[in-house]
Amino acid sequence: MKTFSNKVKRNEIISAYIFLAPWLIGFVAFLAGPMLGGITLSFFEWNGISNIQYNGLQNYFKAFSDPDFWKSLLVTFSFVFTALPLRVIIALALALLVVRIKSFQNVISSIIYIPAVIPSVALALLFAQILNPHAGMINELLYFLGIEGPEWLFSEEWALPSLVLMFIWQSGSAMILYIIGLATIPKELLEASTIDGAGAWRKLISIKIPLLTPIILFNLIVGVINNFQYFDQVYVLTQGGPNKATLFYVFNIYRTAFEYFELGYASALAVILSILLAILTFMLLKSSKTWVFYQGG
Amino acid sequence: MNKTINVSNYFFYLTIVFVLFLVLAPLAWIFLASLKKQNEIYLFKWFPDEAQWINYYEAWNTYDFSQYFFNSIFVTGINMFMGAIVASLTAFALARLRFPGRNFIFGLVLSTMMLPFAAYMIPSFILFRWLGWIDTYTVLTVPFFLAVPGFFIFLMRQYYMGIPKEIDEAAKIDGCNFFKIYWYIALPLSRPAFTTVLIFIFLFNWEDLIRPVLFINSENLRTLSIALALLNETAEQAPLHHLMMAVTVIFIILPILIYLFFQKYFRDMGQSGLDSVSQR
Repeated sequence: MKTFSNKVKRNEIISAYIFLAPWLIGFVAFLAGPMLGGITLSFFEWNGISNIQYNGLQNYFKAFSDPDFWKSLLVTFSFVFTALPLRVIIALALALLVVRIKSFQNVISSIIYIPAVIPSVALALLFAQILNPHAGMINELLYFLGIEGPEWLFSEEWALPSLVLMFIWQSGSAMILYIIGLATIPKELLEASTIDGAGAWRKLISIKIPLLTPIILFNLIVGVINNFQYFDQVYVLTQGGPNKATLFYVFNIYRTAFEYFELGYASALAVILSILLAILTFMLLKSSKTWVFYQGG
Repeated sequence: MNKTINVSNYFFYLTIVFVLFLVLAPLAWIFLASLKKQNEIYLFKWFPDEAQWINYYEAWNTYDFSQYFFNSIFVTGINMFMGAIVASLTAFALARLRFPGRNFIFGLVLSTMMLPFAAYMIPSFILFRWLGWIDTYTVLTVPFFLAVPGFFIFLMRQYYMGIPKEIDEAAKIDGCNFFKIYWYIALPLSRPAFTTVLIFIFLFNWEDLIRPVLFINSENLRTLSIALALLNETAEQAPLHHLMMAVTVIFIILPILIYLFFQKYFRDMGQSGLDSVSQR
């Protein structure tokens, strides 16, 4: 029965889909479509030009016996699970420090945030200069102190640490989160603990950190998803070297597809990445039940 | 008791100063380096003998930097506005309209937040090659703003949900259809969220490297990010480091200025506790 309200409802539905059309088109054409295409491609072998060949799960088996695959996992894991915890600690320490400074607090926290808005390529070039083994700021300082500085980005042992250094230089963005988080801690809690005789350290361990764990969790999840795809600095500075010391996972995918022209294999690597990220996120969330405290129950 | 407080205060202030130094020193260094002569870059001194402001002029004219700068501005600008519009359109429908599939589509939006670009970059390349979009402005813009990252939709939706429904109803009584409600009411009211989305789309696109690397080959379509990256490769042979530094300064000054000018939006993002875009 065609009633007025039916017509209005239909109008609403049609309008809604018109509003949604651009994004839905984009989603299907540029996200879901390619994603499915990638999964499909992972079961084939193709160099982009000549014939496509079906080879089932071969690409996945190839991955497991490919030393580059494992190396790239190792590099990426080492980076993510070193840099992220370090950033949490540093950002937290900075936040605790900054909130104590009454005057100019906003100016100070703003300045510390600035590195986070520096584009990745600029960051790379900047640190390439700073970490220059012969003329860079850091080795110059070390020389002044009588130490011979390492080769940084050119040395196998120090290349990854150099990248970690770059990463934590940008901790300001995390610091802001913790500053805001600290502000949400009920003052009564801290005052009550003072009455009970808690010192600064005790307050930190038993009150502040536990109440910040939601932010820490969020920081870690977002950080894992973002930094497992670490690419820019590798492309600009090291190209995976020296001697594969910085062969990050996504860089490896890039090289496999666009320099070695193994599109099927690269697609399989990409699928593995997606699965891996899903597992890691799930594990983080699952583990959070034991160490994350939410205010208000 | 007083003495202890003073000492610990000193300690805090000293640490803060040290941290500020760590943050600002590299930036100061690069700015000063951009004012050096070619042979001064690799000397152990901070300040150039004479500030070579001409570096900026030279850099602009060498290597087509004006072209690269234009490309970055153009692509970023389009993505900013189109992306924000698409995000707000989608968000409005999800927030204000009732229709079957609403929850499902919102789920799709959320799921895109977890999707790694690497998972679809290769098939995207194949698709764009087939479409003939490689080496065009289209490839750097359309896929981005049509499939705008779900996070921005989420942000705008939250904001729209905060607008009282009565306004919609009043407008409907006056005969407004949904498009008018969107355009004349919802959109103007969402200015803070809209601005936030603009800012973060800017930051994302301005520094984006992987898309130009994958989808652009010809030199005159390069954005600043890839132009600088490639310049670094050739820098060993042709040491025009002082010019490179000048371009780098130009490259970073824009995001820094935007940050300083719009700080409030960065803090608000942190406040929402949900941002995955201002975090690295």
